[in-house]
Amino acid sequence: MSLAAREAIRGYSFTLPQLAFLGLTVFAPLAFTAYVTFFRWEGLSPIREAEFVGLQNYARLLGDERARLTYLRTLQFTLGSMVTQLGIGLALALAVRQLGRLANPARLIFFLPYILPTTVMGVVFSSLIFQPIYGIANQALAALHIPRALASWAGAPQWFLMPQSAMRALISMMAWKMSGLYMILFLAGLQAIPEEFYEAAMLDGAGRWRRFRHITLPLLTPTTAFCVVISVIGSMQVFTPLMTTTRGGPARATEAVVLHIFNTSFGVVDYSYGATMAIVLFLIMMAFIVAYLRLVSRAEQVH
Amino acid sequence: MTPPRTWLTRREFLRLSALSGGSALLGACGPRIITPSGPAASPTAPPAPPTAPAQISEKTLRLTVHWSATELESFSGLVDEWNQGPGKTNGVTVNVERIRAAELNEAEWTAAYVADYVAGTPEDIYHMSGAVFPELVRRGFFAPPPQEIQDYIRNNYVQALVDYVTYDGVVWGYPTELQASVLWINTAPFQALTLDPDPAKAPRSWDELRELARALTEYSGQQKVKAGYIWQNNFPEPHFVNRVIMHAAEGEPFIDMATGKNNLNSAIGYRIMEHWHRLAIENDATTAGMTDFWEAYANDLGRMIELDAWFAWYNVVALGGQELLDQTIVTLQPTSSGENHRSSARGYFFTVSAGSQGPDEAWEFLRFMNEKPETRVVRWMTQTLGFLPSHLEIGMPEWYTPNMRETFAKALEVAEPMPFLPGMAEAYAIVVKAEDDVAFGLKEPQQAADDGAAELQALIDQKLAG
Repeated sequence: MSLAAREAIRGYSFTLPQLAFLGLTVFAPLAFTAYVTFFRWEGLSPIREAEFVGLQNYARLLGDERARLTYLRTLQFTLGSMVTQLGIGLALALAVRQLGRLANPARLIFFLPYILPTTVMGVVFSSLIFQPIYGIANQALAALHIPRALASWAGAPQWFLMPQSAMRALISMMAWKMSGLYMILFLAGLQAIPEEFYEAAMLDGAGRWRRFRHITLPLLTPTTAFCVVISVIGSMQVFTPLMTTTRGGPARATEAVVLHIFNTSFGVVDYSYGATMAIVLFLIMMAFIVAYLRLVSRAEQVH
Repeated sequence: MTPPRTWLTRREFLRLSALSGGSALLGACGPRIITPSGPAASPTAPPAPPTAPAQISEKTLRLTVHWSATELESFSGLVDEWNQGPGKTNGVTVNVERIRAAELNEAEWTAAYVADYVAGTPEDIYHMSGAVFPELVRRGFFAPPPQEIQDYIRNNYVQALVDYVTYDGVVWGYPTELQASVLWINTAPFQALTLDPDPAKAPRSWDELRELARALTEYSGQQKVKAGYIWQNNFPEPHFVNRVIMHAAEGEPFIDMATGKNNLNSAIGYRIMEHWHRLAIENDATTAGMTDFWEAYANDLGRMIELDAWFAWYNVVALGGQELLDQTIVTLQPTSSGENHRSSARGYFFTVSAGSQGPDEAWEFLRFMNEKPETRVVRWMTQTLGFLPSHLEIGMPEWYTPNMRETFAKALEVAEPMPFLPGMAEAYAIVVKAEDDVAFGLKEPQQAADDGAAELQALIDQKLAG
């Protein structure tokens, strides 16, 4: 056997346990989920007794207005979350770097929300912070004399209780929780940028904004790409924050696709249709991630 | 000459470990494909009894309820009468668990029960909502009780409840309480607002309800701080129940079970939506967007609500105390004409899962909990939690006010049964969505009714087709 073959066998033998684990916990369930989408199956009887319906579930999904709206809302939540979380995270990272000795405690403080359990966060926000009449958020806005109209972009003053503001309130809550994580990731990316680049730019007379735009942002591309991908993956699967706050309401204003899949599969007891929505979500996420990473890769080559 | 090697090199050790670990993992997980082992869905025949488990001396059964905090603790104390009594003798322990879902959302309960069943870890005993029951009973979800238990239930419980829990000739569970919906009014602010708190003057028509709601609504500057009528956001059940009552009062069923047709957008359905529109939008007299409904009554943020008997203890006494109870009056829910008032009759049941590891033991436990002394669970639910009694030998809660006794007695005389509708928990969600669309100003009343009716009809058609 050649050396290359022996090396390959060694490599596979080391990765075999993990591949087996992934196969059983990820690929096999995924394949089964895709399989049941071709049947009409409620999920309680044996699958072998289910009726084969071909692509009927997918055709049904195409005409399902409620499902279409859940995908749109999920997209709305994903875009809003990505922009706010990454934007705030980057801003915090840039600010924390300037704090000198206070940088470490500041990092800890801003990271703390991330380690708070999501269920606790949801309960605290819905019952204490975002309560319209005596909640902390509205009282703070009043104490700081911030007009409610100005804060309405964040969901004030009705927060979770009105359909018109509930989604924005959800995005605000998740921005509070997740920005600390992206701050840490961006900090790591910023530290990897050689100082000589900034020194050379300053010698050439580049101001702060030009240094940020032409050095920091391009060299942060790999970090930003990673953050975008994990933000999109996490946001498109949002479930726990919804279950602990709005539960998809009011008036389905925050009914995201995973919540709808859960309710359809187990609440309406229509397992195969729920599986169909799950497969479509998976394909949408894969398409985005592949397209985005290709775009980033091309941009990096240009740089 | 080099002695033979008797130890492994590092590479060989690592390779062997990786191969051993992978093999062990595959062996532990195995090629077994897990498929749900629930009984075949058969809408007409009861399922075959579960296979008798192997004889074991100790058994622990799981009982799931939707209660939390004080009620859960109190009920657990009741269950301990079994665990420290017959349970100890028989080696059967019952553990009470809270369902992992919202406290007041039947669709989520259905999802939790079904998910557990599909995962192979079903609960043994359910405190089952009547809304969830039709969907699951036709799918063979439950283990039938022994005949003597069925006979006891037929002879000792309120007939409307027995009818509801009977399917395919089998009585599937012990009804634990009876619900009837009425209008609750907090008269504490009446004096300051120069209103008459006499129950005889309580609103009887929709017009009077709206007028009173408007009078009870208060503002601080531009902000509404008190609302006359409590809008029950995030609580789908009362919206559906009220629809059954309101349509019946106007002379038609909300869902005609003979034809499968729903009347969400009938002429009466349109008038009901118009009523909500005028109440919530034109009069701005509801708590929609202002506060969560649960705390509204006790905190005097909302002053009227249309809800079941359990509201008396959960929201009036537990959160507001005896003073609030004394200031509360109840009356039959208003109708468009002020005449032909109706109410509802529905309830929850104890029943046993077809996937239970000990169905016989579970039914023995339920027999202990429901058949004397002095009908244990129903007595507790009535006297402690303020429900109306499902058992014929038990009277109304002793602490009910005279006004409450009189009104609930009338309500039970004009009670409408709930439709026996598979997927009813999802139907709840559709109805609340349609009404929320009106109350939050998202749609015009007629559009909301039409959209809701179409969605509800699609659900009914799907469910009735099996």
